[in-house]
Amino acid sequence: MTVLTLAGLPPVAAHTRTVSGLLWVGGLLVATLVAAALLSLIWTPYAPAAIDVLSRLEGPSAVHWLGTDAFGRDVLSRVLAGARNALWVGFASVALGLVLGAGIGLAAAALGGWSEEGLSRSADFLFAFPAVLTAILLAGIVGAGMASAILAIAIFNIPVFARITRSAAAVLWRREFVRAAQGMGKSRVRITLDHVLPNLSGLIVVQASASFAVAILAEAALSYLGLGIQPPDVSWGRMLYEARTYLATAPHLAVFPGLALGVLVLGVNLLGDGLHDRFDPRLRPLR
Amino acid sequence: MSSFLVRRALGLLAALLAASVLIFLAVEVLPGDPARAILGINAEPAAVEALQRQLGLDQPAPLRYLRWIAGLLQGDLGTSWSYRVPVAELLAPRFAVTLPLAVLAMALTATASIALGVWAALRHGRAIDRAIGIGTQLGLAIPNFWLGLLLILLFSVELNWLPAGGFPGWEAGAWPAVQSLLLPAFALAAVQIAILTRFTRTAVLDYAQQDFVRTARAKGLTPAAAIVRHVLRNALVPITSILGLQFAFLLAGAVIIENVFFLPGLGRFVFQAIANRDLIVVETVVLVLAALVMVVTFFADVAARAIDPRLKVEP
Repeated sequence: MTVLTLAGLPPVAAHTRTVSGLLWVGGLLVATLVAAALLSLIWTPYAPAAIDVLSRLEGPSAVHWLGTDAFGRDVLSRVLAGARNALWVGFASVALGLVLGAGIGLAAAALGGWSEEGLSRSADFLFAFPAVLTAILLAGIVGAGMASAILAIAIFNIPVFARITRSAAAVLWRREFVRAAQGMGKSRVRITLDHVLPNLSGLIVVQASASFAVAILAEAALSYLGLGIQPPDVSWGRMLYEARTYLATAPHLAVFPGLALGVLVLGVNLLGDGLHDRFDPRLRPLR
Repeated sequence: MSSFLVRRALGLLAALLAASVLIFLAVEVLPGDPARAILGINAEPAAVEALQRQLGLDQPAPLRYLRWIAGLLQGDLGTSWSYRVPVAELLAPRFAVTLPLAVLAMALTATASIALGVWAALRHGRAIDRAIGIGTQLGLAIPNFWLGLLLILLFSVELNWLPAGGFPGWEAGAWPAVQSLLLPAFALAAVQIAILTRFTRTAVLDYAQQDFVRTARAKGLTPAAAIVRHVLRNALVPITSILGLQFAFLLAGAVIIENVFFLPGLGRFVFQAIANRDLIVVETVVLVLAALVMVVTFFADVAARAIDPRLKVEP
C-alpha cells in the first residue's frame, strides 16, 4: 500500500526545473552505490570476510576508513560488498514480482468477467495481509537465505503490480483504439502486447522504482531478523543487527551500513519521483 | 448505511475465513517436524511418535483445520506445544505490549502528520514547506530499525533520557512502561508520518482550490475557519482510510521494532515460535494480527462514511 500511495502522490516540489533536479540527484545517489557495488566485484580495501582479532571494534582511521567490527573485519569493505547484495536482491525480487504481477494483471484485464473479478479479489485480499508477516512466514517456510528473501519479497510484489496493471489496462480496453484493434480481428494476446502493454510502460517503470526502494528496505529488515542473507554473504541489515550489541562501545558500526541503506533508498525514491513527473504530465502543473 | 454495514461485515467474515485457510496451509508446508523440534535431535523415534499422536499431528490436515477453527470460535486458542500452556495465557501479556505500542505509534502518526501536512500546505512553496518536504523524503528513506538504533544511540547511550530496550511491565507503573515504548513507537511511526504528511499536504492543497472554499471565504470566513470547516473536513475522509491501512504496517513493523528494542510483544513471540516450530502459536498469532488489521480497516471504512455523508449514497 505504501508503494501505491507514494506513486499516486505528486512530488514534493513540482516545478519543471526541480523535476529534472530530482532525476539528477536521485540518479547520482543511485549511480554512486551501483558504482560501489561494481567496484566491490573487483576490489575492496580488505577482503570483506577477513578476520583480524588484533584490531577489533576500532573506530574510523587512516588504516580502516570506516573502522572495524567485532571480528576486526573492515567496515568499508563490508559496506561495499553489501551494496552488491542489496541491489541484487532488490532487482531480482522486483523483476520477479513485476513479470508475474503484471502478467496476472494484463491477463485479468484481457479476459474480463469472472476471471477478472477472481484475480482482483485475491490481489485485494493479499493486500490486506500485513506484508512483513507474509515475508516472515515465507522465509520460515522456504528457510532463511538470499533466495528465500528474493522469493518472499517477490511474492509481496505480485499483487502490487497485478493491481496497478489490471486497473490501468481495464481502462485501456475500453478505449477506441483497442476496440478498433478488436474489430480488426486481433487476438487478445496481440492486443495486450501491441496496444495495452506499451501504454502501461511508464506506469510500470514508476511502480518498479517505488517497489525497488521497498524491496531494498525489506531485504535489510529480513536480514536484520536473521531471515535474509546469511553469513559469509554481507548484508547491511545483518551488519546493523550485529551493531546492536556494541551500540555503546562502537557506535560507528550502527552508522555506516544504515547510512548506505538510507542514501540508496533516498536516491531510488527521488529517481522514482522524477520518473513519475516525467511519465505523468497531468501532475506537473500542480502548484 | 445498514445495508452497507451488513455487506461490509459479510466481506470481513469471508476475508477472515480465507485468511485462516491460507495461514493454515502456509504453516502446514513449513519444513521440520514439530515433535522432533520439541524433543531434540537425539529423541527416541517412539517418543517422537507418541508426541505426534498427543499433538494430533497423526490426523489428516482438514480435520486439524476444522478442530482449530472450532476451538477458536469457542474461545479456545489451543495449547502451545513448546510452552505447554494455553496460547491465550501467553498472548495476553504480549498483547499488552504490542497493542499500546501500535496505538501510541498510530496517535503519533495522526497528530504529527495532520499538523505537518496542513502547515506545509498553508505555507505552500515557502521555506517551511520545503523543509517538511525534505524531512518526509528522509523519513521515507530511513528504515525503521536503523532509526531505532540511532534513537537508542542518542537518547539512551548519549543523553541517558530513555531506556535502550526492554520492558518493565505495566505492573511497574504506567509511566516507566510508556517511557520504554516512546522510542520504539517513534521509530515505528516515522515512515508512516512521512507518508501521511505528504498525503495530507496534497489533500489540503487539492481541496483548498475548490470553489466551495472560495465561496466560504467570500462569505467572510477567516482562512483558518475555512481550512478547519471545509478543507480539513473533506481531507479527513481519505486521511482516515489511509490511517486504517497504516495500522497494518504499524503492526507488521512492530515485529522488527520489538526485536530492536527487546520488547516482549507479539512480534518477538511469533518470531520465536517460528524458530521453535510451535505451529499452533504461529497460526494463532498471525491470524489474530491479520484479524486485527482487517477489523481496523473495517472501522476506518465505516468512519470514512460517517465523516462524509456523500459516501452513503448507494452507487
